[in-house]
Amino acid sequence: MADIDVMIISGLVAAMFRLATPVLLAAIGETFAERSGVLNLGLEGAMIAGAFFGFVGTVFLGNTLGILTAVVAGALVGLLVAFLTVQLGVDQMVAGLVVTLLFTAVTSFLFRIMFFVPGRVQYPTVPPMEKISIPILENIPILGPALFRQDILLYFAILLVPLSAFILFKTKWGLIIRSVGENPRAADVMGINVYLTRYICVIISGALAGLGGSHLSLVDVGTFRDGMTLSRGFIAIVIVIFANWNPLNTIWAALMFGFTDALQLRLQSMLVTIPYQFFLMLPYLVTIGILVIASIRGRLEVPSSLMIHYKRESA
Amino acid sequence: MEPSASINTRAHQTKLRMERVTKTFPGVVANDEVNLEVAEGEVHGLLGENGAGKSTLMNILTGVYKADKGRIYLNGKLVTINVPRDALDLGLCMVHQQLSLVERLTVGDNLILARIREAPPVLDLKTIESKIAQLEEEYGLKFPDLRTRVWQLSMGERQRVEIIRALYRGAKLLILDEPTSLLTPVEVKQLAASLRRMVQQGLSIIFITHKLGEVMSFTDRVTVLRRGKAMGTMTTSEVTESQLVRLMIGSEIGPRELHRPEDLGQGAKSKPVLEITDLSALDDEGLPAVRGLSLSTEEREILGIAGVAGNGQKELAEVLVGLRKSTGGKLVIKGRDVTNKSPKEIAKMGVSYVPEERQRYGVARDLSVGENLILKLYDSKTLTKNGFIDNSKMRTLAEKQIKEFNIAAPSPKLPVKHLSGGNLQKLILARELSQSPSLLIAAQPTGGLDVGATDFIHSKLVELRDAGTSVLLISEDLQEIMGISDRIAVMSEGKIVGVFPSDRANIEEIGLLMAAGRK
Amino acid sequence: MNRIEQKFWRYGTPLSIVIALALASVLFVVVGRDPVKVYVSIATGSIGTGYGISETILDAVPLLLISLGLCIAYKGRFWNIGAEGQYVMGAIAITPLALSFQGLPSYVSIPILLIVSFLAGGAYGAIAGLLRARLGVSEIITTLMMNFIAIDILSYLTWGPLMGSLEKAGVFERTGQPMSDPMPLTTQLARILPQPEYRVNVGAILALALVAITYVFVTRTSLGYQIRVMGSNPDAARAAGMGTRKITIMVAFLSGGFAGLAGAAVLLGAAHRLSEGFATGYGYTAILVTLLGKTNPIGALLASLFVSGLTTGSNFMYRTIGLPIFVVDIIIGFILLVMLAVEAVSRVRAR
Repeated sequence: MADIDVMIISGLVAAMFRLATPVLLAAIGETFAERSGVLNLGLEGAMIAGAFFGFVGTVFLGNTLGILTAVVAGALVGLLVAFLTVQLGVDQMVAGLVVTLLFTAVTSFLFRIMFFVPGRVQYPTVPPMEKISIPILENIPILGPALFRQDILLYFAILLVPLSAFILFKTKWGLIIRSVGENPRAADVMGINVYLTRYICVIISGALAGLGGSHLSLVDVGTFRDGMTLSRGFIAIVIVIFANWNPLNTIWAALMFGFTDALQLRLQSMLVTIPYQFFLMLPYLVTIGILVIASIRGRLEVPSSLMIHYKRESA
Repeated sequence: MEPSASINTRAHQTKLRMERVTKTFPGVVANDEVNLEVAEGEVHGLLGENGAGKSTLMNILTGVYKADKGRIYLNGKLVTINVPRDALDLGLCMVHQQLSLVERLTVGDNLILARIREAPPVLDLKTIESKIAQLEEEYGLKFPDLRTRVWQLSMGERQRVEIIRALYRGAKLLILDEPTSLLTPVEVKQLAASLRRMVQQGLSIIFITHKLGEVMSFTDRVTVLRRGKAMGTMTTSEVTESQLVRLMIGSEIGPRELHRPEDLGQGAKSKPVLEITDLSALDDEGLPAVRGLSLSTEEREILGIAGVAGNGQKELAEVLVGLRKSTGGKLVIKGRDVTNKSPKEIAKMGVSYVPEERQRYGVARDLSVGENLILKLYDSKTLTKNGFIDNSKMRTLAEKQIKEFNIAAPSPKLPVKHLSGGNLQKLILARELSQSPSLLIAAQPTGGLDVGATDFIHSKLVELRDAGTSVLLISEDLQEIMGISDRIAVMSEGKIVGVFPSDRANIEEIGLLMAAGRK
Repeated sequence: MNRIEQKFWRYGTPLSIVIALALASVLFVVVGRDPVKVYVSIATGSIGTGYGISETILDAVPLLLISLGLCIAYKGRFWNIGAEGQYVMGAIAITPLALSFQGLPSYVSIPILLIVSFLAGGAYGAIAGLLRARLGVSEIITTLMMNFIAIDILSYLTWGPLMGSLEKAGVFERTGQPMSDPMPLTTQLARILPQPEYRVNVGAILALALVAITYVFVTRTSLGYQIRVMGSNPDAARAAGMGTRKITIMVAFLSGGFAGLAGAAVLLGAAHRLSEGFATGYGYTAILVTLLGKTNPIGALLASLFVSGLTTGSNFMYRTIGLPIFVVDIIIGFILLVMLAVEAVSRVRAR
């Protein structure tokens, strides 16, 4: 193969992984939330909050604290959603959409207030996060640079996939979460705190989404842009469904979306007979297809109490 | 089945004593100064009709409800039970009719959850496996593999899981709520054997049931509840079924009012309205609920179906109005075969339905009284024209019905969620009756209502009957059935086990048929 | 419900607005602006000038149209969040058609185009309705994804078959996005006022008419009644003999149709050319408008004017006071948040 082809493919694979990271992190977090019975449509809001506050944190406090700020911001968004849905019983869809709206606006608002000076052309930036190379492995042809010369968030995300699957399926906390999501009444009767479990899971989904958001601002561009999440929070929710609520499968869907993302930037200039937009549509069509087939065959592992508010009946 | 004469030789120490327990809900006294005493190592039956107060009493014992008055003693010591956790910690475990297992998870998972606080971070089945093997030994219960998912198990196996879970949790007193309702005959035998083993080990069991046969074959002693009061505790081997029935139902029958006047010489046989032949249907869990049921009703009669809840009545009613598919048999209304037709087609035949689950099938909570009253008329010529609803006609109709049925609503615009239970039922009745149906199916029409509302509804049903309608009255309340029915059918385990004209009905005979159970 | 709670319920929305504005005021003070000045300038920008009023009404039209459809959907418990995609599909469907109507008189072409846009948006929405009615697939997920799909289709078309002749020759607008050829004059919705800067067009009249029609539909027709019953209690609807599956599909179709119609209103009334950036978020904002208006057509009218007024006014406010225009979304977000919390708490109390 010609060197240039190798480079193009290698670049594509690298971009695929890089672009998949934010959405992968959010999807893993959302898996926990939905497994406990809460659909967190505020994920997009948490992501953009992470992107913005991560950026701000880095500007004022440096890289590591910046990432921490992003996580905290996302977690707070999750807390708000949890309070509305778990505590007050607000409809989960509505609560999530309102929170997303709020934080999309708040971040753009604050960005301008804090950094905009009339007449300034350039917005402040931070140097993109350093890439960490893993020796030896990075020299594997094609895959090497793609997989082993990336930023730390990507490594973290990839490690998180098997780790979260382990937690969910093999530890007692995962069992508690799953029981709350399947049959909250039975869990309550057994003495499990349904409310606390759901709170924690939704906060986790916010925190991870915030972390994913920080990847957007700190790794890809080095600054904040309005609405830079581009509905990735919602895509993460689609990924959870595609993955049948199993963290192990999220990576495939995330890579699929990352692939079409990477392709979009490259195909626009290439002459291909099939319009590139059809590639963009593919992940959604596939997901709908999976939903349909799984519904017909009854294999969908939707947590039974998803979107149903739980309130203890007592007299 | 071993007779309970094989009384175990352990000294009869009292394990549980509930003293003067009282609990009232708005409008009804569920438990009225109830005394209950359960000894160590015995199977103690709790017998009574539905609504007698058995579930309430047990809910108090397990911490779901808090009693208004009364005390609970365990092994002689006074205990306080405020939340379910307290009861569990004291060793009081209940196995409900609706099993509280998490179906998607495995058996092992469900067991771990029972003692989740002590579980290690990483789930480990080995310790559980050995403990379970131990329990299997002790109690002779064969247990499904820990790795199977609960939804794959049969009802009998699920129940065994629940029982073992309670034992694993260290239950000292086990409460079983209608345990045989979900079991096959073979499984019932197995259960009986297991219970024997358990009490031999010193466990106490409270066995809630409405079936006489089970009381006789499972229990050592039995306490009968009727309308919230404890009627007495007897040793099973020393009492007969008829005696129990009398305690359960009472021997007074309400005044035989509102009867069809002995036919004024009209010799002609009335035409059959509803003809059910060999009908079968499954319940929500996929188990047979209606098993080859045959019955017919005539014009101008009230046919009361007596029976304890859970014998297929709910499913029967739903099949009759098209809300549930039947799996066999034929349904004929006014000569037309309507087996498995849609609710709409059946309604067109002149069938009206007063559902048992009022909130679920009877009303749309977000709409107004007036809008609920026309629920069945949404596409009829009387109310609609060219797809538009005539609002003034709707208002007139609503006002008329509000007046006629004495519904406590100042105007038809009142949101229906503000209506009390009794008025809600009157609304549903008004709606269904105003269609001048040929066949009215009324399931538990006076459940939870006060005397005034009950009497009113009864008189309306009689009025309807006199006007020619065939009324199928399904009720757990034997008084009600005997009070206004022309004929009485008894339903047990999905079949009709007897039909009597009401003047030949003997309450004890009916009570026995109702409580037939399995021998 | 006792008297206090009844009063609360009736004044819930205005009360929430007041509380939210108070909260927003705090935010303004923190960033160093006088809240009163902020609100006054928003008001001035939206209804203080003729231009402002015209823009407010103009912007409210698509919001209102979509929201009317969503009122129907939400009353029937069909959580359509795909209005954005249905809006796009409506516009896409009529673009080639309109271009071919060169020379046809307005009173022929416009009604046809409006109907086609309704049918197109409706069909797109009905797909999700079908999936839900037949297979029980959640419409929240399907409509959401169909938004993305529709936008991709739009992108393909504007870069491809529908690309305008100017763009084909290499001349692009400032945005770099290709556009279709402009809609023939006879297909454009006429302006109402003679002044050239007042862009409000007959679409506003159409929207007003539809408010009345929707209101009558929901409250007075048999189908509207069935939709409301189904939304309140699907089991009771089934027991009453209503065809719940058919109703679901119908509701999906209608709400999609309204969104498609909104697409036509914007394309023919304001934008006049189809571009890749046609989807500006009306579909999502309309969800909020519907919530603010409590799924009531009249409420939708008021809420859409309120929201578009805020948006229009914010441009003016930015020029005079300098606060980013995103305050509008923040204010709306606060209002909704307070409304939701108030509603939830009162529901708990009512038990």
